[in-house]
Amino acid sequence: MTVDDLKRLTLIKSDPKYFMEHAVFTKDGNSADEPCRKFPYHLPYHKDLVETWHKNNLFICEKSRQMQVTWAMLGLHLWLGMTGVDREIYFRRQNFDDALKLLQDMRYIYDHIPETIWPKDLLPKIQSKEGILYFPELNTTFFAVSSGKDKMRGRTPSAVLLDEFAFQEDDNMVYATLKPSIQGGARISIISTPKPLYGSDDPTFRRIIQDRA
Amino acid sequence: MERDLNVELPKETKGYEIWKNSNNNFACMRLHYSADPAKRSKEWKKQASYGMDQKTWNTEMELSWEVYTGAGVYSTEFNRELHVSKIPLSPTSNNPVLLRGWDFGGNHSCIIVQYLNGRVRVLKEYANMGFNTRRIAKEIVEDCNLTFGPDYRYIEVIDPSGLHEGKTSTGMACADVMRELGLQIIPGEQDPSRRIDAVMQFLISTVKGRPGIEIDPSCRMLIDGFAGGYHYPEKETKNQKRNKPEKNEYSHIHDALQYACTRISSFGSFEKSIDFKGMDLDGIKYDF
Repeated sequence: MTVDDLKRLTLIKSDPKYFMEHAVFTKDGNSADEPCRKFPYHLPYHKDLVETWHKNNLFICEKSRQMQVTWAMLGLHLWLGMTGVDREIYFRRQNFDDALKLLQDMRYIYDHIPETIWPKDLLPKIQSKEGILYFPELNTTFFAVSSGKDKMRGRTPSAVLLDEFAFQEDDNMVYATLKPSIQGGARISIISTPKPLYGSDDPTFRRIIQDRA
Repeated sequence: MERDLNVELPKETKGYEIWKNSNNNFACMRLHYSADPAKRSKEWKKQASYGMDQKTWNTEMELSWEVYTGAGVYSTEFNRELHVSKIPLSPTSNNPVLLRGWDFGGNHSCIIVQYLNGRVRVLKEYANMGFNTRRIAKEIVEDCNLTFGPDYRYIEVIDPSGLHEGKTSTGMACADVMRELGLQIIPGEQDPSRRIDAVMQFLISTVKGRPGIEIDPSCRMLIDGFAGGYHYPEKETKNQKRNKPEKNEYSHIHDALQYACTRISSFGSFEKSIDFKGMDLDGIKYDF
């Protein structure tokens, strides 16, 4: 390891900004010319999103579609997983296949970290099996979880990403299940677009945003 | 230029806003597609919305939460970028009169507005506070005092139904309960279409290039209601006329704003507000 490597890795580990700006590449299936693209950290909203997420364990984002917020969250949680030890991180979506897709996309980011930013031989080694990605040397594990109220019960997560939370079943119960983790200092990140409401619908996502839950 | 990394919440900039909730402690971000400069042109919107119905577009892209059953009352005229202030609004001492619009019945709601140079500034909302008039009125008066300070005089523009007896658990009219608290009361306009028109006039007007109505960004129920949550029913029923907005969680705070707007040009300015003793309004004499 060179002195420059050491300085850079120290910088990366202290703050996710450098990692998000230089190390994160995303997959754009719609672009035949440039399917692997640098994460658009230069956009002010991404800079503020990263900064806000880093400074706050509890983060919720109500968003329009295709703002690359899910990619931002995957990059940030990958950073979180690679810069600490003994972490249990959960990615939760409505169904298991969609939750797996989050793990796959995060793996894509990991596989495309430029050698110049984080040399491969210094990266924590990653292993995977169905629904799980883990860094054995860090004792850090990522789990894909589908909705269903009992899936998170009894767990002690370090971090949870609830993607498209307004659309998840049993959202109220999930939030209640996470309350002890929230009080215990776990990092909870919730993102979603609004969903069409019917009758007296009042999604937990909206109640959290409006400070009613 | 290096960004200030220690900037405190709330923070607002083009197309997005960030704030921190005081109760659940969540840092919140509301991210509209216009935060991306590449998505601000009419051409982009035309292309992106092609083949998508308006309701889907509103939900997926415009961050709209409304229950989609009918047309939004103000959806066409309301423009979030124009009418919602980028920064928190405070009353200005050029006019020491603030109006509080009150809706009773169902779920009491109250709105605080200031009339300034022909414009309405919506400063704060108290949406869906419950049923207990005495408790709610005390809470709101106390909060207004703490929020806006001692330099303002308040006029309460109330839901005219609150003038009648039997609206509270003790059988007293809401208006009487408020009078007992020493509040100055006038009723707002009863007719829904005239009330909506009163708001619409401010919504579509500009004064010296500035919008006729400007809303504090904290007024989330009011804003979401403007965006479509406050809407007409899709089908007329025995209890719900098609030309009357549907009663829902957004309607109470909008009713409150409407009451205030129907009286704001008469009572909201400093010069006119000092001499309405004995005035006859909708057949009711005022004794203050």
